[in-house]
Amino acid sequence: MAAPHPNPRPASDDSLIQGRNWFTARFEQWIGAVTPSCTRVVRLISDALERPPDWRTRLTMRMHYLVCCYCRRYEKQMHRLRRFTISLPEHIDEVMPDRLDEAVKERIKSCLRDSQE
Amino acid sequence: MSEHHFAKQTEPLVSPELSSNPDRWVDEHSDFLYRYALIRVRHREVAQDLVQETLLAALKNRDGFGGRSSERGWLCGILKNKVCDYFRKLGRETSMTDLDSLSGEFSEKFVGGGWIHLTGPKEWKPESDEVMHRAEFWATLRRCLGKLPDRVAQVFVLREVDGVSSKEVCEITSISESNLWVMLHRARMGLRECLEVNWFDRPSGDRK
Repeated sequence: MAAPHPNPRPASDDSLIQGRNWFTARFEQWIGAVTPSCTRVVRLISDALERPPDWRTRLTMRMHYLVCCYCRRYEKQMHRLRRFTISLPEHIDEVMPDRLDEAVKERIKSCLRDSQE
Repeated sequence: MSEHHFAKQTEPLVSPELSSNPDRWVDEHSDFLYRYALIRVRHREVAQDLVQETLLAALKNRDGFGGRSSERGWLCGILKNKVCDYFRKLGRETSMTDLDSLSGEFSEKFVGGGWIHLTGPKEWKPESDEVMHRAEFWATLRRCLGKLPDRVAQVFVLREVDGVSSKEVCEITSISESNLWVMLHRARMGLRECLEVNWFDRPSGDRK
């Protein structure tokens, strides 16, 4: 049976189960049938950062990762992304060249002076 | 409140007389406050106004600054509240158009609900977090953040950069929890893609 869309696994695909022989192909098919689609799994990964999923959801995600290194990578990257963004404020002054215009500073100064009178 | 909590502040503590010189506030802190506001509200004019409002409020409440924390920390605290007030006002005034425009985004990465393997997430190398010592990396992350739609970026920054709880983000921006989760998901997906294309999947000499 030909797949409706050719979606070959590149050499860099390191999914544990890749369906390269009859047995693993059946196993991959079965996991595909009992776990959510990738579009759903990436949403679950994001939601898990907001609230820990129940054990059933965790189990199906883990099973999905057996045949899909892309969702597995995605999950790992989401955790790294969270670590990166938490540290962003420490680095923002280095990479953000934005300054207030002198004219705006003067405007603020005079506004502050007015409010004192 | 414990005095020890503030003992490690790097800013020099200033006496109340000195701290009440508003011209000096502008010279010393306004650029910092401006950047703080700009990364969150994303509009120059709004950020400028927020800095001005912050300093005005600080002037009115200067007795509230007892030299307990650093002057900058104190001003930043006021600004943080002003930014949240701005989001509250915005939440009542704007619709969820940003969210609508995001639906269907990245659909080109999937076929039949699954990743297109050739363009799916790549392994991010190196796996250690040494990138966090690279200024160029933070510039890339900041640019990627800049590419997100306003509302999506605003809730993402509140949630992930400021570490505000989901519940509070919903309250501040008047969006439902399910909408918030969709927006966070879209933001994460967009940032992941942008970081991969512009950093992790590039030879190190070609990163920008």
